[in-house]
Amino acid sequence: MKGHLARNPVLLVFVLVVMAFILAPLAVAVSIGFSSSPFLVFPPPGVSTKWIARFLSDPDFMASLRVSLALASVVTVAGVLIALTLAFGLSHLDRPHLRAALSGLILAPLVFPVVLLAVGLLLLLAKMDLLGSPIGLVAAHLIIVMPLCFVTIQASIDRLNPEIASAAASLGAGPIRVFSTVTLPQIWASVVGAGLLSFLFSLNDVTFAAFLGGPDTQTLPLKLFGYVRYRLDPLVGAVSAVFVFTTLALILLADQLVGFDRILGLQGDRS
Amino acid sequence: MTGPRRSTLAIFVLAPGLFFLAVFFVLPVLMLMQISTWTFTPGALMRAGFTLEHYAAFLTDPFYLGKLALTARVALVTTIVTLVLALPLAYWLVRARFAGKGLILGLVLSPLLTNFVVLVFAWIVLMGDNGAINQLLRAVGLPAAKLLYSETGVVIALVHISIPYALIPLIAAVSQVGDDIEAAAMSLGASPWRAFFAVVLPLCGAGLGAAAFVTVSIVLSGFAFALFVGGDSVLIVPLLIWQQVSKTLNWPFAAAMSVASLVIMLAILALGMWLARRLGQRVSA
Repeated sequence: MKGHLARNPVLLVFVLVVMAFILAPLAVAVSIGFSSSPFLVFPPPGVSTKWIARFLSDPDFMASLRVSLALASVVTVAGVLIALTLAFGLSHLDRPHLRAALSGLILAPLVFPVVLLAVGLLLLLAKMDLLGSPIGLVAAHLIIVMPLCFVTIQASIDRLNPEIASAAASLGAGPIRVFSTVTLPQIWASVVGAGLLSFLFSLNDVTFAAFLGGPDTQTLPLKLFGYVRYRLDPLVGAVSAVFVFTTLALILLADQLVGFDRILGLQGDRS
Repeated sequence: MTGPRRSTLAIFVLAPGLFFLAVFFVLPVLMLMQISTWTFTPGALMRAGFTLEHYAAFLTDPFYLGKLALTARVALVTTIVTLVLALPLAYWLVRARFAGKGLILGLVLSPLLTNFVVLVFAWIVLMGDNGAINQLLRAVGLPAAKLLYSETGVVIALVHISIPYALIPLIAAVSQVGDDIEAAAMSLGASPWRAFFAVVLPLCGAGLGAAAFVTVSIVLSGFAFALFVGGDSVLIVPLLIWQQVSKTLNWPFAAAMSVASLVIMLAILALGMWLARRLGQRVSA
């Protein structure tokens, strides 16, 4: 039999070039964070951690980092909890058409243009007098985080053996008891993975923060966004490096817990 | 447990989440449509009423029409380039067998979870007139390219961020095309490439459509890339919306631009998909 296309050298080279294109900007931003130069030069003339140190000792940046971490924590906990109720509720809904329609509605915010959603939320939050408030921004983040958690958790529920849950039910356990003592222990990894992705999304969001933020919601990405508009120096690289490393570390952890191959519905190498 | 009781419990549990979605997703989208018809006087902000003046201004003023055409062109080029780059990658990620696939997937999807200020910063460094790309071009004796503050630069940045998003529906589409279908085509004498183009590609139609939709959605959200990579020379609609929101405070006009650009882009997308299907039928016939 002829060679499979997946092992074709031409395809492999193409794939490697595309992957390099995807990762190159992240690598460039990180490398400038470790530059020894006082100016923005690439490639950096030497390695130093002085810009990282400058970032970590800047009270303004640290204050916005605290805002970001607090926001991301609240969003993560709330997002995971609501997504769990949605996943549980949908799996117990006996009408397939309604189930498909609702799951489409839950996922819709993920494909709606973020800027347009931000303008819509701006109008709503202004009316509710929540514009610029942390609560408004939490709600905005949740609208993206909730479906993100939902797909991750749903992917894991779909892989469960339904007979275990029905065995528990036939032994007299109610649906909530079955969920908390049988289903949840089997999917906890995906719940933690969903939490990590939520935390990352909230930590990295600029669009909602820029459209809906106020003095109390100066998150780190928003602070950086404002900084880049007026100044470009390796300090931006240093903050970028911290962001990229945090993102990569949490992505690796999420992959260990859930496996992106599973979230995306691929048969992974793990059993 | 009986069916109806089961469903009642399900609806009860679903209620808070669905209520939240209704208030913070469905309602804002409806308000976007409603307020796009409200009147606006500078200084006095907006007033309830019904007017189509914002739509008329956006869709008849030559300045805005030009920017709408620019946005459509950027969206079209970005979508085509994204699909061409992302589909082979998605195919490889599904079909190739190697350890640590989840890790590679995580890396490839990482720009999706990195804030775009990091990416914008990298593009400024890479694309400047004396940036890394132009240094490289000069080193190999090629003329320098105008990337920063150009449409090309904005398209490159948008393609970059679109690929990870497009990969998600494309991976789902490719993994639904069984390996055996491809093997069958090859056992009938088709080369691996022919099997890909004649069998796998047509079966990925829905996935390609979804990926194109996501890409258009990203272009309509790409105000930051336009702002930093494009500057004043690439005023795509999302950047105009951002300017209306942050500077002019003309929210009804921002809402009208949002609704109109979304509808127009979706119409172009639907037309493109229809044409692609027709073309596909003619080629395979």
